[in-house]
Amino acid sequence: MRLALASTPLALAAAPALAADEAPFEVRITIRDHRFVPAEYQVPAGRKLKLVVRNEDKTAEEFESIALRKEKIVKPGAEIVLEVRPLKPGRYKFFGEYHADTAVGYLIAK
Amino acid sequence: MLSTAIIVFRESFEIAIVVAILAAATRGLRGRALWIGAGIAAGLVVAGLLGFFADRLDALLAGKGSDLVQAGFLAATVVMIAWTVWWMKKHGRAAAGEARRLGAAVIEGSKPGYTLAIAVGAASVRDGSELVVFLYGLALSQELTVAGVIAGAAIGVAIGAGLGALMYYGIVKVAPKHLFVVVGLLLAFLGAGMAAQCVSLLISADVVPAWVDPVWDLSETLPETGTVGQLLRAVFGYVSRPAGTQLLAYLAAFAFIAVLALGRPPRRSPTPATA
Repeated sequence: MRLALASTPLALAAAPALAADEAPFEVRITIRDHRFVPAEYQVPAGRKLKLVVRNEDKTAEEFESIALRKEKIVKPGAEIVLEVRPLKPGRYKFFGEYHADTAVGYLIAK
Repeated sequence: MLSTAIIVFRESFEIAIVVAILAAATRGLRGRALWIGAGIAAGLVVAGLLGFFADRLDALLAGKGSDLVQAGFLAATVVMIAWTVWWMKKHGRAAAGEARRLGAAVIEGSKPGYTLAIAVGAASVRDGSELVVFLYGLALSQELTVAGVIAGAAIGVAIGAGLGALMYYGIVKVAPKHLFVVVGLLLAFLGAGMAAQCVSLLISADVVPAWVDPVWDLSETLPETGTVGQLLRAVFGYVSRPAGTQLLAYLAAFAFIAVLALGRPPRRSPTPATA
């Protein structure tokens, strides 16, 4: 009983530190028929993101986003993992450079 | 086939611009076509390797391997461009092609040649890696026949090279009196754009902070992917959403190269700066 009471302030003190080290928020996006599925994804603002993009098409696609500062090729059947720094609230557009007319999506940070 | 041609054109156009400007800058250099050709060839080989081993590179450095390698190539290119400008300045009249008229010896030597090859090669790596992987993937996927891929690629390269040649002749036809200034400024813009791109990769790899991000956002009104945006990007290094550190790198590289180009020539040159 005394141990539990004594450890509570310690636990409270550790909480902010834990928040800073919290695991990145994972986002999973699939490229299918030259489109992103899902095309819009809600993410928490101010938190590091882990973006996993999987290409189910038979041709390569280049995942690109000016807003997120990312440009990487995803080979057919392969998956890439991108680390995105914490975002301010807003809409962040990404697209597939090789099929820019159909492959468009947004990360919505709130 | 059209979409292949368009994508190949976009990437080869960027390489063509760099080649055109560097070729104009090194007119006095003997055998520079060979150096340039060697540079492009070597650059495409490295680009291919980079493209195919990108995932392994990434795994090596916490997902950032290929970004860091690309940033390294870009930084190297900026240095090479600055060196080319310095060389151009040092050889004054000879570089502007007046050597033949004056009967003076054409500049020989492998040092400027190597530098030119490395500058062209490093620049080719930037766009080449996407190109090589894209074409290979397309050929494998059977969405298009191999002949179709080659045809589309050939068209894209031809148009890109054609525009590059146009640019080269456009630059060179400018009166020799202004050639230095024009080429010097173009190289300054080129170097600045590459420095900005290098910093963007470093920000993405979390090696460098962004400071203010973005300083401005024109991605809706003048996107880098649009026609005008692409031209601005290839020639002037235009960025629609620059971070603070990116802008700083751009300005620093521009100032450094512009001062090299427009300042007083190194001691040994016989011509005054405003020749």
